[in-house]
Amino acid sequence: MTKYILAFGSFLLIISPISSRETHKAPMEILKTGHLRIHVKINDKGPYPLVFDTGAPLNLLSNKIGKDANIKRKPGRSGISLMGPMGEADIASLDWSGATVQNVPTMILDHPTIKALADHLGPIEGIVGFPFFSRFVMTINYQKAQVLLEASDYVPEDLMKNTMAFMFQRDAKPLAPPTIPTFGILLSKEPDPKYHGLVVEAVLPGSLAEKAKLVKGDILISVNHRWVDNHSLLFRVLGEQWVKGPVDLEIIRQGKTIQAKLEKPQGTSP
Amino acid sequence: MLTMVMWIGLAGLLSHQEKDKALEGFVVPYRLSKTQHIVVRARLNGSAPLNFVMDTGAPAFFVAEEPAKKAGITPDESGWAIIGDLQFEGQLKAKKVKARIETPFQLKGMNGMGLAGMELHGMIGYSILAQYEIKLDLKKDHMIWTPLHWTPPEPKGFGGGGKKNSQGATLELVGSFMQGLGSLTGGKAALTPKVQGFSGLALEQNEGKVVVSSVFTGSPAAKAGLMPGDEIKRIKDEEVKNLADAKRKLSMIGAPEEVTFSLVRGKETLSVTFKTAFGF
Repeated sequence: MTKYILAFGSFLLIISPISSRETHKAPMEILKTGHLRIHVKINDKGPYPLVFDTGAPLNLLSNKIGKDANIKRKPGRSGISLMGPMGEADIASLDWSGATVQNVPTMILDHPTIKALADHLGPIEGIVGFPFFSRFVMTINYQKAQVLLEASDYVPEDLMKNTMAFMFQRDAKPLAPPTIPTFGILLSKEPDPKYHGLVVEAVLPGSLAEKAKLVKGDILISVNHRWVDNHSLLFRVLGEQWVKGPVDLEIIRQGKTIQAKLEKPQGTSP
Repeated sequence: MLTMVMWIGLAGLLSHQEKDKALEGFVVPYRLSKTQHIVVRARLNGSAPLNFVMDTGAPAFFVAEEPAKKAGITPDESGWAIIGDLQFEGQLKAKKVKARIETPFQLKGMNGMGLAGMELHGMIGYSILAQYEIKLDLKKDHMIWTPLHWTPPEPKGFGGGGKKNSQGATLELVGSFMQGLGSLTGGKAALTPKVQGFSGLALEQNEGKVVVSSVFTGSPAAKAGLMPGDEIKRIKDEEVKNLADAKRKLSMIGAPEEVTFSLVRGKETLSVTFKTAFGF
């Protein structure tokens, strides 16, 4: 019997990420400065008043919350900073109105900006940022003072871990660049100074660019709705995985904006 | 990015979309920087595209001083400016947008260390964000911004000018925190995608050989005399193992860059050198 219960239990575990994919309505308070205050439970303690900050690459919690919610610091990643004790830790569970994430990295630190904000705006004990909100499809609405959160499969990179890996793998072989399809467009080295696009210097006969009726002198402004004001950006757009079908172009020709479409190429040889 | 600003009681001049697509969302493409910032590109009064962090932790639309100056935007005495024409990458356009012309210390720090993998020129904060319902899914390369038809309250500041100095001191401390973070994260991250040089060759594999299947008329390869049927033995003095290897080797060549091919044409062995072009 126990065996069946266990089996059933693990089945529940497997399906739980899907069944929990409901949309959570998480309220926020718009402070007089325009900052957003939210109330978050950490390790089932709280709720604690935190600032919701899409510009914060890390979560940040006060030492007080660290102690109160019994957050375990990572050994060897703690110390004393100019601002007092600081450290890195994983929050076992972070819950904003039912939208919950497990094992979320955070910094623990009494941050002077947080203190300055709290002095003016009332209690604020930290920041909720990217490691939390990246785990959801998120809809922010200031008018309703609400964020809709629906669990996502997106797995954020651990900023700290990632940069450490970056440091230690400096000499590792770079990944091969993506193979870019050939469309038959030769471009200027420098972007046009007025329109900030790359200038078509030649359209090769028989190419897909010729078929799309591009002509010499056209200024290429955007590719698949991304601005291409230098070659590096152009190659980023061309190499991105979602460039698989036809390519949408925005072009300036004799001062006028026109749209063009490059057909999907047959081969992908450079 | 948590930013504070001294708000001066300017009347709220809010943006209006050029074409009011009521209830319909605008596609706002973004990129995630190496520092995990959501970066949106925008042009101010027709300037070169600039990079802004989508930042609910910023109370206003911040434009750093240097790019503002380049775009010909001069702030008033209190540090504010009205940008007549704000154009986001994608579809969204706005008129008469109030901006704070100031270089937040966080940007200075990050740009100084090159941490983000791109230069950051400011933050899009409350004064703009509050006007839209914003949907962000990190599995997609764009957000959807739907205009909300309301006038968000003007944010209120931190009181009088007397606080400025103490705040300045606080901010400086945060600056040193960011730098501390920088030393943890290992300095400059070079992440600019490589520009691939254009040669104008199409290749195929034929009985274990890598062969030129076609050459674009007018391309660098054509001008150098490469011909369909040529077998490629070496690229830049490295042996070509198979088609995938040849493509990989070609994709590693920048622009403009000199490249030498060792070829077999019929019974002849020859080598051809040309310079790749910008293009695709």
